[in-house]
Amino acid sequence: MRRRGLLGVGLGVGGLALGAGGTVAVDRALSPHEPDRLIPFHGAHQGGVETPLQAHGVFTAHDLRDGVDLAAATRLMRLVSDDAARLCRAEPAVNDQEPELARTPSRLTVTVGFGPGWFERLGLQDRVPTGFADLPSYEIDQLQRRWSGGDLLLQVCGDDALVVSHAVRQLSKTVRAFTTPRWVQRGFSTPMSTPDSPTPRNLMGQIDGTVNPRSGTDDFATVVWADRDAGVDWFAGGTMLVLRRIAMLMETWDELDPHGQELAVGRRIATGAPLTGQQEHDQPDLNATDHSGLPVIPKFSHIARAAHTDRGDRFLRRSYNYDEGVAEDGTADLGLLFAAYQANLTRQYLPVQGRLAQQDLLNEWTVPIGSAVFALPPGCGPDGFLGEGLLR
Amino acid sequence: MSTTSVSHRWLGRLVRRTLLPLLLAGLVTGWASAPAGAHVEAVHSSTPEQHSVVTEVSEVTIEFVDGIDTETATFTLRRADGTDLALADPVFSAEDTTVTLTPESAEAEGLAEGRYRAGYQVNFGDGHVSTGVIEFEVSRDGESKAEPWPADDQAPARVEPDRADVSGQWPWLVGIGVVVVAGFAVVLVVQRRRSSRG
Repeated sequence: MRRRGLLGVGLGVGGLALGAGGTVAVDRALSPHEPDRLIPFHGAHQGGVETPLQAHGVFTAHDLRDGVDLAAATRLMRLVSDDAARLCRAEPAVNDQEPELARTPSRLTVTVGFGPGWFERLGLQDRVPTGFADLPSYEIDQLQRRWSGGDLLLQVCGDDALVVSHAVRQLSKTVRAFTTPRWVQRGFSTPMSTPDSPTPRNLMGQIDGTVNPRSGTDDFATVVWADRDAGVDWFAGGTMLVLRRIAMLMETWDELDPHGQELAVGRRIATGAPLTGQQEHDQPDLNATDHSGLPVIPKFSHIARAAHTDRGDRFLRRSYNYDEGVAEDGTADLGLLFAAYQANLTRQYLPVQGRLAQQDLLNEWTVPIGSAVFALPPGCGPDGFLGEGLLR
Repeated sequence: MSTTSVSHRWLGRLVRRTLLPLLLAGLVTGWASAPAGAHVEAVHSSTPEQHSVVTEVSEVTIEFVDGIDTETATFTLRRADGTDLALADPVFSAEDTTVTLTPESAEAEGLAEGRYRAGYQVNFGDGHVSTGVIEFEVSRDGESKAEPWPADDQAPARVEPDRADVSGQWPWLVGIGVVVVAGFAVVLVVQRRRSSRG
């Protein structure tokens, strides 16, 4: 008995060590959630932007039904705001048939945005914030309508997939009388329980979001939140979202050796450090050369092309991964729901996107297949509703 | 049936059913974990040739195994003292498989004596970046006046991937696992022999 026990311990330790090789990478993905937290729905800004990234994110777009006018749109926003506030308090929505699913706080946030069509169909073109416009078409784009456009956005994020799914369904019921569904895009990520949590990785293995402005700082507010300069008062405290569905061509990416992957990105895969640095947040030296005079970070690597040229072309990256299994052609159907938030889309986002579309080594393995833009109004108080300043 | 013989058979079954499959799994894992190589051979040939001593050079020609993306390609020509020669616009062959580099300076008529390093950082159009150098020496009498070239200096520009925190651990962990399992097997055998003597 004693011997058998001893052997059992030996095998256990050995097996643990043998198994550890395969689980090293998994451990970080199992970082604990904080399911007992509530994110206030009411406030100067909407949740789901400055909120540290939750584990699950669902973006749904809807088109206004014919005949929906300003008054109907106002009723719609009152209902959405009311139900969203309830759900974010871990309370059931009105007419919630599954109230039990609402009662688990999971850092749920509901964020609402207006697409270009919202302003057009409601006759509000003169109230479009400065810098808000559809993206131009890029040569790299292979956009599909089923992932693009939309008049109204509902972004629902949380750490519990069941709670998020329930909230999406309830809110979809709320808007059904006023809109028709256009698309739903579901994503996931390693959650960030605090702003200091490790930066998550995308499905290519890269640490994604290193250069984000730090939450709670003046820098964050300048980059993300619109002020009175937006040209229309109602948008102060709001932000603009660019959502791009980017397919990853993993079959060919996986053929690339790790060194080639790092040269294409300009960062080390393991640490996220630039090829000229040691730590993730080290500033890349794009002018550094090796002893033969060649750039350490290739000129057309992703970070060399995406690097901001001045304080004006920065934005918040808050992306989710998607994985829809296997495509019809047998390849992996996965990628990134790239979500960029900024105070002024044309001034901050377009210069970067233009450079990347023109030349970026990563374009070999990434294809934008969906694109949409939304103006996210500022937050509201308990007695108000989202978009009140625009619709009143 | 004695306790010893039961344990002995049990150990034999254990080795057959557990330890051997684990060892085999480790070997298979080792083979499967070898990094995939792509474009291992970036250059087919060059003039001057790699690590050659030549009496006269006015241009450097590098031939690649495949067509390169000329828009993203970067080339350098550096003296041994670390100073760079300004280059005229590179001239590419029709299929972009060959590039000719010519100094802009007076040395276009012929490089001065000394050692040189021609560097390339190219993309084969599939996103894969290859970097490397062609090293050569100019000596009017054809005799090298410098130390021999290092034996393995094909691609000094290469930045080695740093994956030590993930993939670099598994060989050690597998090794530790095998040693621990083997150690307990030895203990068992020793104890069995002692009990047999007793």
